[in-house]
Amino acid sequence: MNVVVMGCGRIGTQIVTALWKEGHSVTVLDSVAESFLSLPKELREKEGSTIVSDGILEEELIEAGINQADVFVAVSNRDNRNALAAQKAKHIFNVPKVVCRVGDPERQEMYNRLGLATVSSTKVTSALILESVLP
Amino acid sequence: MYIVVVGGGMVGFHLTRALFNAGHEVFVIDTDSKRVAELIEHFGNIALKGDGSEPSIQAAAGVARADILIATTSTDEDNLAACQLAKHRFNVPKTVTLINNPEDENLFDILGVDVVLSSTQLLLAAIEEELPAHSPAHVLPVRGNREAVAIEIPMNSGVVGVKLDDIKLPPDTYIVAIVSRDGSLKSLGGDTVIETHDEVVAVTVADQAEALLEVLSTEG
Repeated sequence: MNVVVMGCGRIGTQIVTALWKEGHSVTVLDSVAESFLSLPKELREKEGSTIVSDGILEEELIEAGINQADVFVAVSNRDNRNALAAQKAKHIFNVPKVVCRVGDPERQEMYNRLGLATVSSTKVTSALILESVLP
Repeated sequence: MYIVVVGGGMVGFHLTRALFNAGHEVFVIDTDSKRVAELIEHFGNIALKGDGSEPSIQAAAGVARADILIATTSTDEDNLAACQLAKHRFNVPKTVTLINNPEDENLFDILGVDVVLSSTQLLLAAIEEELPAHSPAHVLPVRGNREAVAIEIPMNSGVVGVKLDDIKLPPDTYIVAIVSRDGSLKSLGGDTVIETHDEVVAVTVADQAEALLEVLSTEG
C-alpha cells in the first residue's frame, strides 16, 4: 500500500515505522524537520520518505504522493489541522481510506457523523486506563 | 439577529463594531485575553476567551441560538472547525468564513460552509480592478492628427531584448527617444535594444496609438 502520514510525533512515528516494517511504501509529513529523528535511520534517509510540510498546501500533499495514496493518516497534535487535511484528502484527492486523529471526544463524534473515520486518543487512552483500574 | 464572531483580530473587531452599530446582538470568541479585554472595554460584556472550535466554548457563547457564525481567525483549519461545529453540532443556519489559502475554497464549499471569502482573492480582485490592461502611457496630441506616446516597457513585454529594426511598428509610427531606467537617453539606431523599464517615446497617428501600446507591452 501507499500510505501518506501527516504528523511525525510519537503516534506518527509508531504508525510509520510499523507500516514500513510491514513492507508498505510510506511518506511522512511534519512541519519540524527534527521530528523525523525519531524514525529508524534507514527509513529517514530513504529518498522521498520524509517531507517538511504542515500538510496544508496541496502542492506539498501532491509531492508526498497523495494522488497515488491508498491511505491518508492525519495524526499531528492539532485537531483542527488533522480535520482539515483529512477532509481535503477525502474530498479533494479522493483517497480511498482516510483516518484522522481528534483529541476531543465530542468533536470526534461530530466528524464521525460527517463520514470521516476518526480516532480519539483521549477516548482510547482513558478507556484503557479505566479498564485496568476497574474490577 | 444574534451573530457569533470567532476571532477578534483586526477583521473581527471592526466587523463587531459594524454589526453592533447596525443593531445586531454580537458575541466574540478569541483565544487572546488582551483582545477579549479590549472588546469588552469597547462593546460591553460580549466577548469570551477561548478556542472557538471547542464545543464547550461555543455552548457558553450561546452558539445554539445564533443565526450566523462568522469565522475570521488567520488559520483556515480553525475557521473550518468552528464553522463545522456550529453547523453540525449547534445547527446554526448560516456559517461564514474567511480563508487565507485560496486552495481551501473548494473544500469549504463541499463541506457546507455557506459563505467562503478568500482574502487573497478579494485582494487580487481589487488590485486587478485598479490596474489598467496596459502600462500607463502618457499621450500628448500633436499636429496632423498625431500623438506623442510615452510608455514604460513592462518586465514581461515581448519587445524586451529586441533590436529596433526587428520591431514591427504600426504604420506612420516613429520611435523618437528611448530613456533608460537610470534616466539617460539611449542613442537611437537599428541595433538599439529595448530593455525592461525603458521609457519609449514615439510619434504615431491617433488611431494607431492603441496598436503601438499593444506592440510595446504585450507579453512575449
